[in-house]
Amino acid sequence: MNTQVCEEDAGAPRQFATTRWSLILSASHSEDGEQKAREALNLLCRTYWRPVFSFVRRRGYSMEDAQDLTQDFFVKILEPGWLRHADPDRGRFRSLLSKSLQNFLINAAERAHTRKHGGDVKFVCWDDWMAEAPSQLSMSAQAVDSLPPERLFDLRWAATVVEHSLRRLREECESKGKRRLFHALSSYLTAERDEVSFARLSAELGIAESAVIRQLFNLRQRYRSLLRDEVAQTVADPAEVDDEIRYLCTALAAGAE
Amino acid sequence: MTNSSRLPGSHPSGIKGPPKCEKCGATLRLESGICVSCLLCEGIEAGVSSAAFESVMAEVDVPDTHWHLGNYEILDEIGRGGMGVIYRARQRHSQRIVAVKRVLSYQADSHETIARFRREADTVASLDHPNILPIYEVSESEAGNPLFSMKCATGGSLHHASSSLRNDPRKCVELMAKVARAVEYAHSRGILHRDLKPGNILLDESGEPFVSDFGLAKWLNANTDLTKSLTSFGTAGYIAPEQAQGAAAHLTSAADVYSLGAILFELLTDRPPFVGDNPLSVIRQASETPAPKLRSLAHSLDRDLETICAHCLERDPKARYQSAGALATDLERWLDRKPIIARPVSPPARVWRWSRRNPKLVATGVAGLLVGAAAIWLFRSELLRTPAFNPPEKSIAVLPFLDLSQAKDQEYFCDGISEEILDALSKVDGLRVTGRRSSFSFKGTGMAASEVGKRLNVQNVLEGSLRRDGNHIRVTAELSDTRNGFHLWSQTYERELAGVFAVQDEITRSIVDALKLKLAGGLPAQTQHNTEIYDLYLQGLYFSNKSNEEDLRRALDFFQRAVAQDPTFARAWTGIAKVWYFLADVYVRPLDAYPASREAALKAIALDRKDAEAHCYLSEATRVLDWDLAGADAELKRAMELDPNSAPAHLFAGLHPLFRGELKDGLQLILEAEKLDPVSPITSYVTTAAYLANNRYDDAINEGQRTLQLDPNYFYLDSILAAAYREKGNFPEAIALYTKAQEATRLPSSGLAITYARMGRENDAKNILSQLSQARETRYVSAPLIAAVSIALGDKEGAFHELERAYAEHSGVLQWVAFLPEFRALHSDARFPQLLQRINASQETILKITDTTLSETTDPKAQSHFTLKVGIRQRPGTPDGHAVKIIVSFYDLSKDNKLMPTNAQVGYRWLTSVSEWKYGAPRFLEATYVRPKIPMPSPEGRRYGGFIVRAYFDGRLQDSRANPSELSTLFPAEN
Repeated sequence: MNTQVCEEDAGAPRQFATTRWSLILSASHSEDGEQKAREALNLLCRTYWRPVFSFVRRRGYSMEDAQDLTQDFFVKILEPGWLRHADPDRGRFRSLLSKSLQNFLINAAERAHTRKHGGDVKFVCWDDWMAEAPSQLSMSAQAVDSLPPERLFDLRWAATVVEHSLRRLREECESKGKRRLFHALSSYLTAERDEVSFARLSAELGIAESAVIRQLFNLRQRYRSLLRDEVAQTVADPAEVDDEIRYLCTALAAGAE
Repeated sequence: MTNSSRLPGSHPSGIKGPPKCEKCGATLRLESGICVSCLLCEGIEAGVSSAAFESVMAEVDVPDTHWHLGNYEILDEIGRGGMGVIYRARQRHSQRIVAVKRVLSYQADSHETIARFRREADTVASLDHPNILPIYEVSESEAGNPLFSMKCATGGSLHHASSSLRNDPRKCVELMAKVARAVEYAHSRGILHRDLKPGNILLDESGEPFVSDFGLAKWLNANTDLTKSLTSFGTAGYIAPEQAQGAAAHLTSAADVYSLGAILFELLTDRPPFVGDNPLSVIRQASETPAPKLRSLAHSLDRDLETICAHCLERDPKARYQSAGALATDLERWLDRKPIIARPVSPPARVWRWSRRNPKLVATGVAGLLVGAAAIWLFRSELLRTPAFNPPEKSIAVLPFLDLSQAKDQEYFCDGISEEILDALSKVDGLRVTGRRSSFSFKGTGMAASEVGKRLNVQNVLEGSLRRDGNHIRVTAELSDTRNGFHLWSQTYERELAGVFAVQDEITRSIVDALKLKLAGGLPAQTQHNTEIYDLYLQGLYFSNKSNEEDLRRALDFFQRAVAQDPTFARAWTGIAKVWYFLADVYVRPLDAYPASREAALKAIALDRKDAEAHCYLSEATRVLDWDLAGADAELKRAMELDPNSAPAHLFAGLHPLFRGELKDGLQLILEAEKLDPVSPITSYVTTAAYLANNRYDDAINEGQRTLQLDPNYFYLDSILAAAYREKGNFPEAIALYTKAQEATRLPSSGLAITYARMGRENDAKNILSQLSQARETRYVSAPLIAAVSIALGDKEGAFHELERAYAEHSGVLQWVAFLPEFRALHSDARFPQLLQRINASQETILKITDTTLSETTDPKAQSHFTLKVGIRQRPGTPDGHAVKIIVSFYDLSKDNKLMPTNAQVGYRWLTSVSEWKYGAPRFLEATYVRPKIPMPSPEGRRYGGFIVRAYFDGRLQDSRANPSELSTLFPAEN
């Protein structure tokens, strides 16, 4: 199963290919579908484990316990039973994950006792997941300490969406042999025109200033597509993309204390 | 530029958070400084399709080059895995192409990541093995990411190469044997890999494997907070069931063995043992069902391979090979077409299947003719394994003759004839004859003579057949040249049985002619004269390889009778030295035996300077009587110079590292000795002890059983095989063997007492102890043996008392206490290192000269110009600020070939620095010798002669190299 990036302009009527989340929600019944759904869920989890981990940590667990619990949570998620309970009405992957996580942690204490007896087989490709999506955020320490876990979850979620999109953008550039271009210009994706020293970039890249302007704009636009697609993967209905983005922006703004 | 966000539990060092974004006011930023909120808001607007994007991008030409990380120019990304990203890069100064691994932090608290990373770097950098990917440098990028560089394996990983290897099982096995040895090495350093998979085995251009990505390596013994909690790592398909279930604290090397087996399985069959839709199901299967049989997927492979794989993939870790080394050994045996150790169904004890032939001659009537009743046993068998086939001149192996008679009942007769011929040939001066056991081991294998000859490293092979009809026999013999397979000579003889002896003579003479050896006076006369004495010698030789007192004294008697008749018979004197050496410490007081051994050895050397073996016994006498390990070393060096293939020299040389605590190095040397003489019981016996010292119990047991195969009564000082069983916890086997040993040696067994003590049967142990003490009144009892029992009974005082006595007696066994497991309980006592000091079993050196490479430069301005490159390695963990001094001195050769000093001497001095030498990589220095061109050649006619390199640590000499080696003795270090 592969993700389909929106091939048309965002303004046109959306003919989205199946997003991951909608696939997961709809296909839990046929055997073949269930397999695909599980793969899709796997992919989503690999991308969005960090908010889960941050949430658990913020709840006060030690590093080791948080790792254990996060692993346990995902094992639970990836088991067939969870999918069947995924209720379309609950809407978005993010919110469902958040709620499940909160429920999960309520029972965590009891589970801690049984966990260590080696009954269940555990398996999570921890390092792979981490390596795939390296992340270094900077947040003020007070913000981190003072934010409620749910807020932190959303913050982390937003950051993940953004980082993941940037990563895809970089990969697309690299696949065309334009990694250097990406590295030079990616810091300016959100910059206003007068903040960018096109002359310097022109010298660094060895292309005309006008070319720099054009490439930056191109990169920016592509980034937008990727970002929208990324968000789309986690919602059931394409119409929700804007809403979800706004939700996350709000979450970030609220975090700016 | 950016600050890491800190989660609860760690506090920032007073750094304030990032500034608010000017546009939106949010404070969350990415590593590069971009505001996350702004990035998110971008998404509200429309984007562009990938096709359009690519076409615009294609308008410019901005090639991807010159991306730097630290000292490296990044060329491309090779992959992602483990903790970071791997790039192919060029090192800035050396321009060398390397692989660079960059750690990407996965959590906000980067201190822990960096600490974990440094641990990884330390771990891997300390490993030094030809099949482990070496680490060059550890550094940081400007952004602060830790990174390290390592060899760039350009052949890709096994993951990609596996398809091309599938059709060549031998290659797969060869490769995995190397990998297993590398893993064994890491295990011996206390490091488990825990994530072995095809993707982690990289190949270089020539297909040589390198194990990499010890990112999950965990010290077997260390148990830090961070690593304790790391549970289920590893990759589905190759991860051992117990590892997947999270038993991180109790993982053993068997987990890696599982992975190795899974990899081998995949190489041979194109799929891992277990496959499934998702990792969970794979692991569940691996835990619950037995691994599929190799041959069910690949029918053409043989059972032995199937057994090997199955043995690795046992669900119960204790049922697998207990070490990567054991797996490697079996793989190597498979490659050599020898029987493997692992059995399809695991039996309680392993049986050595190599050869069960009874060495006694059975041929009727023939035996009595040429030699005495004893079977011939050549001490030195010529089983050299040289990489290029370069057999010694005038070397021959005699293969057992084939029995072509109707009833096929003449095997004993055929063997007898072959043995007689072999024996006669071995008496011929200048002819090297392969030992009987080695050449006869090919019996029935159907292997071509030239192949056998190559394996035995001989120039010629004699084979033949015999056909007997009643009294009538027909013998054919054929001599061929191994290198090209040509038949040098062949002949058929038809005789009556009574004439069989004449036939042997005839064959032998023909062979000798064919080999173009000239013997003065023809064969019969010469040998007739020497036969009797030589016969005495051969019998002495036979008994000198035994381990009990009676046989050893018999040997002594034979040798003494030989020298009585011919005092110039150097080899017989060596034999005397040998017997006294073996009698010493076990049956005879050291102060009686060693001087006698020394005297005989000196006599042998006086008669024949080139007798290497005599130097060996001299070396041992020096070690024991003078407590002089260095002097003993020098004698052994001399022995090896005289005969690089001297098995006893290698054997004794292997003991010295063991005495110093360098257990792996010692084992290595002893294994080389075994290669030189695979049929020597004493070598096998010492090998067993070396394995035991390295805690390789299974290997020790296998080797110990082999000793008994070679000689069922070889117990000598105390059965080491029994000790191996005992250390492993298999008390019944240990007791059985010790009991047998007691009967053979007629002395109460100290090992038995120790076993009893371990089992809690203290009274039984004490009984034996008192028996031993009593036995002292009538015969010599080795004091360290008694000490060992005392230790087992918890009596340290008594033990040290005995060891002091051993010191006073000059017991040669005393230095063995440095590495035998029975004495480990004493290591923590301060008296122990003091004792070791006194017997000169000193500790590991701090500085080591790793290599010295001399190269000559063509220099138009100089008559000769040499550059010596020296590698110095410092023992990891050496603290800062100690003085290191390296002195390189060059020497000249005068016109009449005398070595003379020069003023070409250079010293390097520096202080140790922890950071510089942390990772144990050697440091290289250069020294040059230049003899300028002068108008008139000097009257002394000097030219380059050699060098000495000496390394000092805080003024104490640590290591030296000299080429030629006599320079060290001629020009000793001043202090």
